[in-house]
Amino acid sequence: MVSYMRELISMQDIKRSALYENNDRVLSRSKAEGILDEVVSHTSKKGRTRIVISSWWGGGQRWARNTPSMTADQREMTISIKRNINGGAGECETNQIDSISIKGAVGLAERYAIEGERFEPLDMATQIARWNYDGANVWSDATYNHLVTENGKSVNEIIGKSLRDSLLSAGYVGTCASTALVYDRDSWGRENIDWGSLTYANCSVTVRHPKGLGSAWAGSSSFDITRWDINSIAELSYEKCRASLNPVRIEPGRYITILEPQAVATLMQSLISSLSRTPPESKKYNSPIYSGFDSDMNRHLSKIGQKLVDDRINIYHDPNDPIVGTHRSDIVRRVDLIRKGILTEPYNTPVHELVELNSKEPAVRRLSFKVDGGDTPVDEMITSTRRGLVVARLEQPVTIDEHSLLQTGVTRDGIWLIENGKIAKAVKNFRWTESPLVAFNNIEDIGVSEPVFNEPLGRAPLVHNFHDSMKNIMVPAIRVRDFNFSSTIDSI
Amino acid sequence: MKSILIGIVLGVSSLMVAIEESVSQTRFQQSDTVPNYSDYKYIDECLTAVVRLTNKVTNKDTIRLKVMPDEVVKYGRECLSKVNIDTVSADAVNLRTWGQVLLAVNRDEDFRRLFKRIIDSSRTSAEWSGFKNVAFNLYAQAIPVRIDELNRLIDIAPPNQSPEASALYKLQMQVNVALIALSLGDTEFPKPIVTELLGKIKEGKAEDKEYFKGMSLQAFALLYEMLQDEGMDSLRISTVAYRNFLENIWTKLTDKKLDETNEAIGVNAPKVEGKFWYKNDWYYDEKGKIVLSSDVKPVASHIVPVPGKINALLFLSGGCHSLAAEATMYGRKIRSVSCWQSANMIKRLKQEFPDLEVTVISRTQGLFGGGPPLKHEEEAKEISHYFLGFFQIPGVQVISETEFIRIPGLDRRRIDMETKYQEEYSGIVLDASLILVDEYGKIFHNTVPFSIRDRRESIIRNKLKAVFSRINKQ
Amino acid sequence: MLKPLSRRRFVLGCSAAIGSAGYLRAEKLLANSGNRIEMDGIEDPRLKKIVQSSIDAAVAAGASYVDARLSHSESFQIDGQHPALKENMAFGVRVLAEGYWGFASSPEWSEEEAIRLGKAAVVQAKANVFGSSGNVRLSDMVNTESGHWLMPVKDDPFEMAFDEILDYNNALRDYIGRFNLLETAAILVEYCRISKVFGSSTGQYITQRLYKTGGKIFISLSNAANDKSRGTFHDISPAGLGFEHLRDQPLRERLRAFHHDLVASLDLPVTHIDVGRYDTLLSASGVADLINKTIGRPTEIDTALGFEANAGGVGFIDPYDMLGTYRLGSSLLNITGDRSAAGSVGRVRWDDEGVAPVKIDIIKDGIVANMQCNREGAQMIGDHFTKTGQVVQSHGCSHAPTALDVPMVHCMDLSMRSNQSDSSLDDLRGGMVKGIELHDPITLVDFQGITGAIIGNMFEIRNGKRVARYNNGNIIFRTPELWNNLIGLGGPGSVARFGLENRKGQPQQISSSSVFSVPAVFKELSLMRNG
Repeated sequence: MVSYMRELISMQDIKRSALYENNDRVLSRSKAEGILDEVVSHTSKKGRTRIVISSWWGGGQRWARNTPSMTADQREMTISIKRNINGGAGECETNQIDSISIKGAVGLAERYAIEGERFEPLDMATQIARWNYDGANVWSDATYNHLVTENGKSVNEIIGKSLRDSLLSAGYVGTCASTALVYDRDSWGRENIDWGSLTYANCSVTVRHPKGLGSAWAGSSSFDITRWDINSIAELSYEKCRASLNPVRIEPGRYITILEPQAVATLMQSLISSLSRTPPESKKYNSPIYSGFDSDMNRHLSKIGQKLVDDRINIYHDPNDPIVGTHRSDIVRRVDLIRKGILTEPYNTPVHELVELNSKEPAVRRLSFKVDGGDTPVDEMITSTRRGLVVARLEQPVTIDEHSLLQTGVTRDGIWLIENGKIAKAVKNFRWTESPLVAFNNIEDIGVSEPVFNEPLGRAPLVHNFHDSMKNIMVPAIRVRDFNFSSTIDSI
Repeated sequence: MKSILIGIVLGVSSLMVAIEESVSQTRFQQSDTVPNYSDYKYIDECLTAVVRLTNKVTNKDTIRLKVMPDEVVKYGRECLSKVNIDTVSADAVNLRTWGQVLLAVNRDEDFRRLFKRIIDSSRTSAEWSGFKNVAFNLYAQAIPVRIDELNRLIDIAPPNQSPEASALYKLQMQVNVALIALSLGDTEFPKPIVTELLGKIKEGKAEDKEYFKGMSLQAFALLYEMLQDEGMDSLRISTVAYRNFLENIWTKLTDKKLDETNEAIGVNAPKVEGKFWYKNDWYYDEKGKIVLSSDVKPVASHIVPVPGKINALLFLSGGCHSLAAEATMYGRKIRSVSCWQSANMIKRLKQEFPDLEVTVISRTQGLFGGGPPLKHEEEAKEISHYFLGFFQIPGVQVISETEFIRIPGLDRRRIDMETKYQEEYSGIVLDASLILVDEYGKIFHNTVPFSIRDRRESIIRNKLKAVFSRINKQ
Repeated sequence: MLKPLSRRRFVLGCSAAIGSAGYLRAEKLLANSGNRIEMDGIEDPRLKKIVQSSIDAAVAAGASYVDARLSHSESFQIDGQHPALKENMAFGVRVLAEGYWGFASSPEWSEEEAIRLGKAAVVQAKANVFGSSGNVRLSDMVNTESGHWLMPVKDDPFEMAFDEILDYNNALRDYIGRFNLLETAAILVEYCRISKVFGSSTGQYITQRLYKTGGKIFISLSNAANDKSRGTFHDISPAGLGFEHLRDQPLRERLRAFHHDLVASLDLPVTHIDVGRYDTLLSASGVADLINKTIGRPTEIDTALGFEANAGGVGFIDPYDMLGTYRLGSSLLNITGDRSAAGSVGRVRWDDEGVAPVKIDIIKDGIVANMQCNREGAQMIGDHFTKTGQVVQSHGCSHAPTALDVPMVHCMDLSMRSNQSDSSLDDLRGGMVKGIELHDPITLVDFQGITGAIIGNMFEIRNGKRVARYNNGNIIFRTPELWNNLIGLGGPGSVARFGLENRKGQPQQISSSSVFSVPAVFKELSLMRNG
């Protein structure tokens, strides 16, 4: 009775205070433009100007040891001013939006631009490149209007369950929203404005045995909070934790390994980062896709057009994809990085694209990508494996050889031994040392592609990398031969 | 210690205080005080400060200053007053920075000793020539130019070289110095060098072909400049006479025809072809200064070089505009200084010789200034606006469509083919070249690309004077 | 082609009607610009009023404990080409209500916003109330003094001429530019000044101004055979100092020695790896990284107790089980934690809970002696303190990068006890007959800190000298074994301070802490080949 009353009271409290919650947590376009007018009014017409006005809101709930540990609501905004005058460059940033702060910030950026080191004694005219694509909608009102109490309620249920099962749960559920207005003016006075807004919601749950005899994790993220369900995430984490208890030590070595999508995403990061035309096309470079110098054409060549990985692999970025798409932005398009195992279109800088290809559609680097799936469910992969391992997560990959992309990292939160087509037991974690290039050439089976969890990028990216402030990844589970586990580790 | 000043926005009236705007900006106002350079811990901090100061003053225009500003000299002296040049550690000295300041305050003797120590300490031949080049450039760019010092530099020969190679190296240095001396109006200085060169050529004729050709070209360049007055006399008669004058020098040197040099003087200038034509209207204001309208309009194609007129053909493309955006986008150094200098020079010449027919010749590259990819006609419009509008070159712009192939397969990078004008002018034209053509369509000047500097400008001016004088006589 | 903008002009101040709600009152703020108040530094008493209003509002809304923070951060970055100044002002309010933590923050310093934040933080805390109340308890404060403190620095970079910093940087670049075999060099230095206000419902009110100066210099050499040797020069790593951090160090001599070392390593032959166990010498920077990851993080009380379970991981040291008894290393291993040491990058007069830092022995004679605690953490292991006759108190480990961030336990500045005899890195090497040396290596640890790998510039040592390079090796270790195999340490003369970066939390926070370390020799570590 008492607890029921309390719940009622606090809900009323919250409804009243929701007045604060939903008002202007992020800047609307018209308000941002109002600030922009003020900034521009203090900016001299000389040279080049870039102004970014961004705002961010984040609400999150953390819990650990079966109790909420922090619930927070944070808001931030930034005005960033970059000036190029006569070959000099200056930058100033403030988060205060009164005219005096703005005037001061502009003044300082200009002073640096004028007094700092020169590259060129001339005022370079630059036209601003613009290309328009629609992109996917990545703003969700459901995310933006999600009430902190709803999280509270779900978290409370999860905690209740772990208490009943004598397990420990910890987790985070968070929502955030961000907007940015990007203004450019070149030395000819030509102006351009970009506007973007996005939301993001993520949830992850770790369930552990109180004595550290087992641990498991599950998580999900999307711009749209309705695309995942906190209870299912928690349920999965419980299931995995129960299956992970009392792991046994087995010998390190090369195993047939089924990597769950989350593990595949981690393993792939360095491969995705290395898929770029400049370098290697601009200079000799220690890149896995450098393929030598052609003296006839006087050009460095990349491995574009060559087979790089298993021919069942397609990797691409599609801004219009409802799951891994990005917000409306002017330099986004579909990029097929790898098609049927062949390197088809590595990422490219706008300048290289323009100068070398005269294309208005640069394959600008994105954080989001998708790998097409196959049709073998993980269960089936297990059934057809005589002896091998299933890995839930690969962590902390560090590249130790750039050319081969050899990496080392650890497994975490779930690794099991398969014997005769069945999960036989949980095993202790390993340090692994493997290259994604090798693993992706050793593929036996490919599962269904599914979205994986990504941490939100914090509040800085929207200011500094407006066009790539979302990270959504969809990859399948894969079964690979001879994945190299180099040593056993004790951590659970 | 100064207290920090923090502006705070207050929405509550009881705390509202109106304040002076200027005061509250102090949060962003980094100290305006000029540091006392001579208090710097390291001498080279002080020296970089002086260099920074110098660059700030001298980078304002492309024309070199005549006198080093007092401010620079004052701070330079202060910095150097605390150091004994003979005891500083050679491998900690940045020759460029130290040299620039030492020369700025006229401590040439000290610089010479410092340089000697540094070059003696070099560990590789690449390092050795690096130092030598730095010193050469410092002397050549010093205010005023240090001809005597450059001359001394000639005697410092690379270590571990054969006597022949050393001699050749020395001669090349001498020619370079002689050319600088000539540009400063010193015609006596180069004479012994020319004599020596001529001797070498005689020796070399029989044996080493390449060696001999290099020598001949150097001697030619020197004589060409030394005998400028004579040359101008011939140019005042006709371009053919001017060519004969040059031919004479060359034949004396080599027993060969002038064609070998690619100088192309006296040759009929090929017709410039291009698909797109633009023009910028201009007029003189009451002070006689050229004023350009910012309106760049398409015009009908016509024959260039314009018959019966003195023509200046300015070949500007490539790095001049297409990659300019990359420079500003990534803060990298770009190579368009020469384009800028060419544009400035041509403006000055046009001011002086109103009848000069100026044509800027470019080609399309599929992009402009880092902007979106463009169709040929769009790009042509941008290029013309850039040179005629932004750089304010008073003249006509001709732009060719560039054909290209692509690397096959998925690579698809473009490889440009030569345009018609590039083909026609092949071997004599690169970006930022200036070619002058007389009223009969004959070339009477062809500037080596990337070398349009003050001295070139005066030579060009003299030539134009000569050619215009003969036209006016007619 | 481009069209000129046709933006709707926004009339300032026209929408005063909506000005009463929402924090981003852009129009209002712009219109009220004339009403900015010049503050007389961070200790201006008017700030106290603003802070107090948020505390009052939160208490009125039902908070049992409130602390409110203001931060004004300035950072000046320079790499010789592109100077950038960044300013950030933040206001954060943290409350305990119904036994749960709630937090709200924004960039606006005003009384109106203060009140909103106070209330909002309570709303956040109460969002957890479904069933029982929370049980967060805080240890008592030993001292609740109020006051004002300025971190003593010789040269405040923000009071200096911009040109002076520029000149220093350019000269340093010139100096490095003369190094033999230099392929590339990069200098990045950042100067930070952060002014903070802290007030709490206990009546404590604190203001302080802190500094952080430092950066990195990367140098890459390549010889005629295009063989490369790369390194990071750590001597300018972040410290709690002003411009003097760079200027007053014998930086050039050290850079020269550093360069000399890189050149010398290029002259060594590359040899293949014979997998096995070898005595191993780590440079002081390598030891600092090792301490930070295998001792620093696992002894943060929240990491140890599982608050980071869903983030970086649960530290392997269980305070309920191991505190005061667990032998982590040989008796040579002694680590203290202290956030008040001069020059430390984490140095404060009060932490972000108003606690004056306490110096603690974290590892004493090889035994885990204490944990790095904030108030909540100290209370959670209070029984241990009581039993061992210690005061149950925070060590001053609460920290938030800005007031916008939630305060949490961040690593203290750590200090390793050096050897009595004054041996240097060279002496330690000289004493090794056969072994390996890792110069400036990187330690990779697992999520609990129990096992790890060390990678980096690796050399074979024979009879006290480096005789060859290994290109393709790594050391794998178990943390307790590694530290128990510690057999040699550098002396007081070899102590060096390194400013290291730490990441933790959800959302992730980045903080810096210093480690004072010495070079060390370990017995029989496992050398492996990569791949």
